[in-house]
Amino acid sequence: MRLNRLTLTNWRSFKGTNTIEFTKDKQKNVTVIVGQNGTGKTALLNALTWVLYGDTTAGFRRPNDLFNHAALKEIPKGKYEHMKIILELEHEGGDYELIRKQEAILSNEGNIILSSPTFNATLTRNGLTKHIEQDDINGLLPPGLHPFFFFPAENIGKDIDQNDAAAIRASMSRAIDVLLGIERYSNSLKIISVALSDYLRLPSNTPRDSSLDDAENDLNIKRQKWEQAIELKTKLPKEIKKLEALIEDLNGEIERAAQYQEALNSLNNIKSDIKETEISTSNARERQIELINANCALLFGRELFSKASKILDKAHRDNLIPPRVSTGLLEDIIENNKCICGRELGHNELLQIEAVRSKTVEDQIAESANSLRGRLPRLVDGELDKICAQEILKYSIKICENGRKLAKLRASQRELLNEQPEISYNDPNKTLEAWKEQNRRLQKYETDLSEIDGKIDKFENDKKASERKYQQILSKYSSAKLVSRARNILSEVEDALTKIQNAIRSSARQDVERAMNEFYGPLLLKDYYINLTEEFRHEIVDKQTNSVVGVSSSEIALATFAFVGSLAGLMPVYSNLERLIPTGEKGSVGELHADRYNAYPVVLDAPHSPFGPKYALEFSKALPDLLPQSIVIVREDQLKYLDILIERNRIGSAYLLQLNTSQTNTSTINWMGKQYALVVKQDSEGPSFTNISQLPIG
Amino acid sequence: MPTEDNQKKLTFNAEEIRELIAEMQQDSLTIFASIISEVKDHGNALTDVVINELARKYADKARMLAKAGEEE
Repeated sequence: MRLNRLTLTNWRSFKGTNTIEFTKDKQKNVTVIVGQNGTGKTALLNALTWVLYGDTTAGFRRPNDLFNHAALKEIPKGKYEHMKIILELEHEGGDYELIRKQEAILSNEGNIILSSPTFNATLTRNGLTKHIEQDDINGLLPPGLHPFFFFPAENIGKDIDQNDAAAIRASMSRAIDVLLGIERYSNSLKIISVALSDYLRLPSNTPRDSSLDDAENDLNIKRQKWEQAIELKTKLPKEIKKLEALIEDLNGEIERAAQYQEALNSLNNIKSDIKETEISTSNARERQIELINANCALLFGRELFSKASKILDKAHRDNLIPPRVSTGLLEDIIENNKCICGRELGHNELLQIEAVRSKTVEDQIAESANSLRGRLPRLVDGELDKICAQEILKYSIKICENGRKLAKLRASQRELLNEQPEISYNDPNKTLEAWKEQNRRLQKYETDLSEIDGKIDKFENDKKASERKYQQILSKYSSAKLVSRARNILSEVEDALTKIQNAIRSSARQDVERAMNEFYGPLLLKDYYINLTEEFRHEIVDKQTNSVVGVSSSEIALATFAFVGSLAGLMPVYSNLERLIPTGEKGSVGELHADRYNAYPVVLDAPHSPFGPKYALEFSKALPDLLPQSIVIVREDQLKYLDILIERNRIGSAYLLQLNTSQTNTSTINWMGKQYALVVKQDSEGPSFTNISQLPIG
Repeated sequence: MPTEDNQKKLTFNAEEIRELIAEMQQDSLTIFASIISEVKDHGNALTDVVINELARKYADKARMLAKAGEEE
């Protein structure tokens, strides 16, 4: 497949009609598009997905706002304007033209009305042109794969552990299933399974004996075991993938926590000092209060206590202080409604007792008064104790000192948290616990998966044996002979589908792994290779030690690019496989070759973003030899990575996205020794827009 | 540029699949080709309702083929 031309009319920031001719030169096979932020680089990538599928990439901002604003503003009342994308491509000797279009009308009332987008596509082969449908396009390039052929590399970002990158990795496993058409086989298997379980049984009104019931039950159990194992085999790798992403995130957290360890230790010391000081203050206060209570006459003067003592004595003599009553006993009597001799109390008796209990409030007064009467003479007659006064003063000083210390400690705590806010919520112990827990789960899933792998053949054989036994018993019933034969036909299809699915996955694993390594090797500066597991998970292995290694984010990003390349290389082969295998025509399959020479084109948005300068340069160097046609969309500050392509004469066409705006801006780029303006000043005050200018090559 | 040698390294041997298909009885092959093509037409996301409908359809089809075989 080769992309020939892309024509944009009023698409997003692109006003009017702009055309990009993609290079078809086999030597100069890279098309470069340069633009600064905000000029529509990602919109350009999305123009391709929109014209192909009517869809935009995940993360594309304002996906429902596609019509150029400046063009909409200029529509006269009652008139139409259109937004349109045309993609011309060639594939296997056919010329395809795809047009997706949307119209806008400005009503007489001044409202803009947008039509639903329309799609029109033609294929011209051997001079004959025919209309083709969306399904034909989906067959050409499955929608499940478009995120890889139109690859928004900027989403990988500076940190490979971020969500977008995790989503890309998760969709890689799904992309392989799409590439191989695996879902078609698993869906066919589901259908046959339901047909055998629910629709091909002995009619329920037929008299049956226990041997048939037993065989049916046995078959149900064996089939269920086999189906559960198949389901787990599909589900567990996805769970493992999720856990791995989570563990990677936790690894990052642990690393970050280690960086903050020193600050965290300081914070913990401050916290411990604060707690200690607070306890010391509290103890000092308590001790001080005790001393004050014991020596209050010293502090408040004897006269006050002498007067109080006299007043209380008089109150006692005048019977103003009520007598003491035992409240506990009264409470028991009221609660149990019984006298202490066990007799039930009458209503009036109870009221009387409750009335007596009300005096217990006064009883408390009596207690306090008596206690005070006992203590007051001591207070009045007590000696001035200098040592005690000094001690009280000492505690006052201690409390003041602690107050000053606490203020200092709290200020240090605030300062530390301002400098490194991460430590306020990052608890390394908890992160480590979570990491251990997720690793335990990962190990369990991996053990489960390996156990299932070991048992799945046995489950399949058990199911087959039960099926044969069931069919034998069924065939003894004259009414069920037909059912038995029908089951035999479907069982044979089920068996073949299972084997084909396994064979495709197994061969494809080797092909994808080999293809990934062919792309990874030239990009990588180290002696690593990619190992693709049975579950289509990729891990990076050191060739010297033959062990899985932790690699840098650049190296992981390169593995993602290797996957993009391997899809592009394998696509022409598997699209043939797609056509040939399902027909089931004997002898028509033959031997198929993966074809990197005719690999599909790949459009890379900001491909240098995930790398450091060294790898970015290596990537540019290797790209033209890895893919027969690649389109790179770059920011102006990444142009330096393309110098090597200019030097080696590998660029076949180049374009500049120029922003037209009323604001003054003089930024330029240097392209092959000449300056080109990134911004063009427009006279009117209308919305800014972008146009595409061709840059010279060679 | 990629070379012809590179291509040869990436070989998908579909012989095994061809043999599996060739080994099937004619009735099974008919069902196989039909079900694969029908599932493709339906797209990959099949609902339970569609699976159930297709299961009934293929059970009937298998019964019909079995009956035709019996009559022969």
